[in-house]
Amino acid sequence: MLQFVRAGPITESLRIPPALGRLAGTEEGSVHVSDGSAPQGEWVEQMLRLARHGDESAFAELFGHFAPRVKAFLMKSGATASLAEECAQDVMATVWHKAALFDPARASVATWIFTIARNRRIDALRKSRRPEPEDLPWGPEPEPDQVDALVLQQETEKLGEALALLPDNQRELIEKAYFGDLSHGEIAKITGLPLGTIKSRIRLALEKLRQTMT
Amino acid sequence: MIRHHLSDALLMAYSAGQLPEAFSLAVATHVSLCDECRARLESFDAVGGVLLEDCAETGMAEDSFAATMARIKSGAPQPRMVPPAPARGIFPAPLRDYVGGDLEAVRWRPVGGGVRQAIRGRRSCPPTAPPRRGSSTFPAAWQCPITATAAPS
Repeated sequence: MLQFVRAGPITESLRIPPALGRLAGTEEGSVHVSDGSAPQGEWVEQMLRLARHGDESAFAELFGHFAPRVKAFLMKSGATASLAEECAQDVMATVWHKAALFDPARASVATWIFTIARNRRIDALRKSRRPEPEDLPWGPEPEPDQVDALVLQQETEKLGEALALLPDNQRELIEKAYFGDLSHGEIAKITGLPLGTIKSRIRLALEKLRQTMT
Repeated sequence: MIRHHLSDALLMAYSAGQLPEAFSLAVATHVSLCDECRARLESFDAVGGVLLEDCAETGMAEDSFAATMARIKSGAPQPRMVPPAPARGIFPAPLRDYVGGDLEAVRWRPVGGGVRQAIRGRRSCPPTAPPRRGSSTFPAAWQCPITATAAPS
């Protein structure tokens, strides 16, 4: 059973091989779960409780954190408050229904909910369809590897830190792109996003899934 | 072995939800077959996740949680399971969806010189799509048909 603890007791008990530690950019081969202030590493535990047991209190916690953010995201993308409210409720209902598809080795909870909110926004605001890639012919592993999941969550956290360090004008451009204020032509001018490490992690996770399941 | 990969700009625009439908179909089809680009795409999604996390919260309506729970419980009960893998074919699912079948379902039309072409319009709206509000014009995708061209083999 995967235990993600927001305030870190897992830190002591989890040792990973030095090679993985280097990959994760950590020292001495240990995985550090940050002290609860980490914005992206959280929520995995609630998602898994929801996915496995339909746990309503876990869902309530997720709702409390993400629904107001989804609503803000939709309003920044041009939705009125009432449309954003309605769509945010839809998005959270989808989180409930699709919880089993969340794979902590491939995405943070925020990332996964972002993809649902983005698709809902396309339906609501652009009224067009967005063809989705075929999902891998298997879902997430029933017992996702703790280390893989933890390292991916940390990579997302580091990505957040790296994005925060970008010069203001570049950060603004990225926000505009994701809030729908840039055309795809303008998006082409954004370069230099620090995605190398997280991409390698996701690539490894995909590879591992293919190996396990075929 | 896939040697030609999607550009960062295409992947980022797809992740941000800014691509026209025909481009989205091409990206979705490629990503279905290419783990390298899938990993890159999911990294761009992670950027979106960071931005969502950083959004200042906007207060939800007072009865919001109750309304959402009611929505969940009134909906058709959905199994909390991973859906079965779609039947395998030559085309990945997103393309099959537009063609309305696999390779044999493509209606090629000769355009001269031995070249054949198939133009896909927008597939009709899925029954779950929300009603269009006050829009009497055709969706943009009608004006941007999706074209595949095959040279003689």
